[in-house]
Amino acid sequence: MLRNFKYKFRTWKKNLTPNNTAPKAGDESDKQVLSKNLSVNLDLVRKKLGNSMDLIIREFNLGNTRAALVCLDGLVDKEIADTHILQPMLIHARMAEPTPVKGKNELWKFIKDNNLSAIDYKEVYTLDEVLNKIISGFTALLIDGLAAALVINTVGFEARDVKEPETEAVVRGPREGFTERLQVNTALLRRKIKSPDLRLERMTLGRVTKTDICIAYVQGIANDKIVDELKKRLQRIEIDAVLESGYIEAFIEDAPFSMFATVGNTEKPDIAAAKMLEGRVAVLVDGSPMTLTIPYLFIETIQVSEDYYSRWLSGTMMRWFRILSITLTTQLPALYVATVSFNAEVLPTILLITIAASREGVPLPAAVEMLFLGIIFEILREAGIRQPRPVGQAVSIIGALVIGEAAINAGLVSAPAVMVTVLTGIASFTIPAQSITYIFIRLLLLALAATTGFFGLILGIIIVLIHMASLRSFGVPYLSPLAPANFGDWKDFLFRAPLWTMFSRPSVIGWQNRKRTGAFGMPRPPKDEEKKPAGEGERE
Amino acid sequence: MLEDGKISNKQAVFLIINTILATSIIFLPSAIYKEARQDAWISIIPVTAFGVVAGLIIASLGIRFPRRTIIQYSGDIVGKPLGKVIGLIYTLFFIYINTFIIREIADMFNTNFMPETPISVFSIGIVFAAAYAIRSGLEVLARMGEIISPFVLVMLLLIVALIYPEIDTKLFFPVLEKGFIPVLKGAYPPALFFSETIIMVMLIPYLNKPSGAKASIAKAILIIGLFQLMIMATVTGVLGGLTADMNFPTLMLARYISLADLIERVEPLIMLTWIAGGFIKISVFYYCAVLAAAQWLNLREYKALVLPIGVLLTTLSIILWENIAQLSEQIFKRVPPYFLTIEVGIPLILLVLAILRGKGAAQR
Repeated sequence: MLRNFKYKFRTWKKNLTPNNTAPKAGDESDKQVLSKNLSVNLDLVRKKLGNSMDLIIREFNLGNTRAALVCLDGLVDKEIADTHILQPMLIHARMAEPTPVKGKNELWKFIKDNNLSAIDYKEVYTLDEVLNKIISGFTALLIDGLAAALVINTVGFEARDVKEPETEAVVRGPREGFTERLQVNTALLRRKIKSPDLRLERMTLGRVTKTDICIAYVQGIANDKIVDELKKRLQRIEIDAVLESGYIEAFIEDAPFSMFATVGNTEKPDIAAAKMLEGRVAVLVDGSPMTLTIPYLFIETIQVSEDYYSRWLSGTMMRWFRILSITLTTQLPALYVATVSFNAEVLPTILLITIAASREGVPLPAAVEMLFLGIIFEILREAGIRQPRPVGQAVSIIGALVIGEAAINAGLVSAPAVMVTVLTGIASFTIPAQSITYIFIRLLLLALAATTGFFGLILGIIIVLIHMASLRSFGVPYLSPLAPANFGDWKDFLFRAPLWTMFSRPSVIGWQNRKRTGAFGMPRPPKDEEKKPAGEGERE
Repeated sequence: MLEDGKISNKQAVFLIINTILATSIIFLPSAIYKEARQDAWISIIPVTAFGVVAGLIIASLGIRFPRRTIIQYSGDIVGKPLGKVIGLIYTLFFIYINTFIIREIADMFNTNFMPETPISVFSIGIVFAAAYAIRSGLEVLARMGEIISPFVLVMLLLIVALIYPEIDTKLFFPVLEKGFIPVLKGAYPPALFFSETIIMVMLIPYLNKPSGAKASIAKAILIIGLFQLMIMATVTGVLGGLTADMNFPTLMLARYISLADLIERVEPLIMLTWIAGGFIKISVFYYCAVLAAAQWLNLREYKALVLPIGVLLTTLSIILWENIAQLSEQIFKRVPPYFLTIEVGIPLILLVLAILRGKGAAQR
């Protein structure tokens, strides 16, 4: 019976596959070669694109030969198409006599060599390639009597300017962010890393969307194994659409069911460049400013670009506050519940009395109160993000008033619980990268603390740690350099050591090429008298 | 191979430290004090020496068979049937000793913090966490050891630093009032704990450098001895004669801490660290039991055994003893001869036989 069911399922699945219903793009039937007849070719193009409204076909005479330019409106820079493609050819048509052109092949060669003032073009022979190029904004030149076409790069569509990203705001450091255009993004990376070793490898993903993606890494620094593994995983992807880098992340991440992200993302070229210089690999996706970086480790949540741009002491200090924030945002509500409802005796007497007094008359147990407030906080936060900015502010004000004042005055919740919730929420804002992850952990710990107090809390922390210790991102242990401990890498973990002491790249990722700085980089004042700047010398 | 993970020798040191220290710190002081009185701290020195010797025996045996565990190579040394018997002894030993540990940790939390909650909650909880760690593999266990051990050590240093002003040096005198005999008697109960390096008979094959096992074990035992000495001396200096009558003298130490009326009642923090340390200890023995059972049964995967052995551990830890006093009585009076035979005696015999018969190292 089971076998019968399996058979049915298989036939049903077969019927579902697009092969039987509609011809999909990129099918074998599209590998049609171009015809020698121009009008046949043009008809094919029209038919394939379904007489699209943005299709432009400009036919003209090249001497006594018919020719046509094909492109899509809005995707091409018409200025380039006019002055650099059409114009020279029309002029040539008038002056065809002085240059004796014999036969079609000579004409073809003449156009390529002497006529076309475009830097990027390609000769193609199949209809499929012509269409693919037209769709990405190229202009195709077809000539009657030749079974070939020239596709010329005239890409010039409207795109957003390079702007400061809102997600990763900095006080000190470069302001520019990636845009939606892949070419702009790769150029931004090139401008950061002016080395011939910067590798930018193109791939096309998405059966329908045909999205360009780019694998970027620095040859000689990036780990070859990681690059190969990434390419292998990318090649395995079979999807119809790639609209954002998140689509790719979902297919290449190591632990799809984990609450922790094992693929990082950034919107800033300087961060992407810094990670690539540590040996990581970046994946840029056309149409999205979010660039993926792999491998992604836990420490990257507490590393912020400003740590490195500001002086090391302040970088270290801020890092400690971020670690404290992670601890608070995940554990504070659970700690409060465990203390208040199970082991209140651990509190100093005066604090205990204060808390007990404010909890007087509150109808909910501490755990439910915490959960209730936590949920309201997250709803408010989500509302604030999704609404247009002026409305968002109104939401926050109303929320603050309702929760903060009214709920306490009405005796529904106690003031310490509100404080704990607010502190928890604000602490989560210091680590924007994975703030949703921490909500899960917070709820897990809260549930455990509500049932078994401190014991449940510590058990929950242990379970989360086991989970983190078992994760790997592209073969690199997620918790390194904490565990497995690698004290050489601790220079960039709990401390942000001065840059001149970070001689080597992180060993787990950049082991191919460790050297980063010279050995004796510490800045010193000049020793001999002559070298002192003028005016600093001894005054007599 | 059942386990394809590798752990570094440094991770092994952390695992050993945590495995021995986690419960010995809590239970040993009163047991030693009962025998050696104010000279209890001296007892630590001979027992550390004993621990190093036991560790070296275990390591030498393991190094002779660098890619196999005792379950696998004991058959080579003494013949297949006897080897199977030895394998079974170790499998059951790892399970049995773990029931003590689970009960100790659960009871400690139960009596001190949540007396109304049934003890099974704590047993089940901690065994569940350990089972999760074991299913994730030895590498994950070793990483957890690396994260938790430093916390345990720092917490111990913190207790000693905070309680330091309370130490009364008069409580140490007279030194060696009744000669060396009580001191050696006091060294007897901790011997059991100090030879828990027996876990290495299961772990040496998974070290990065099996040949470095001797140094790793010796290093770990010396660090443990140092901490044990420090705690023993502090307990004696603060509590004096009270030590003998307490179940958890080290916890009492934490209760005595009072710094400027500001740092008070730090024992929950310390308790949490010990739960974490205890978790590692339980996981290590649990892992050894599961791995030993899987190898004894010639299984290809050990994961299937995690749940049944976990259930066994939890149940036994609850039903074997009525209360903590009974457990203490058993662990310090009844079992030491048997446990010491398994922990030191059998490895010694196996080592001698292996050398005489030229097994192991000669094969390399």
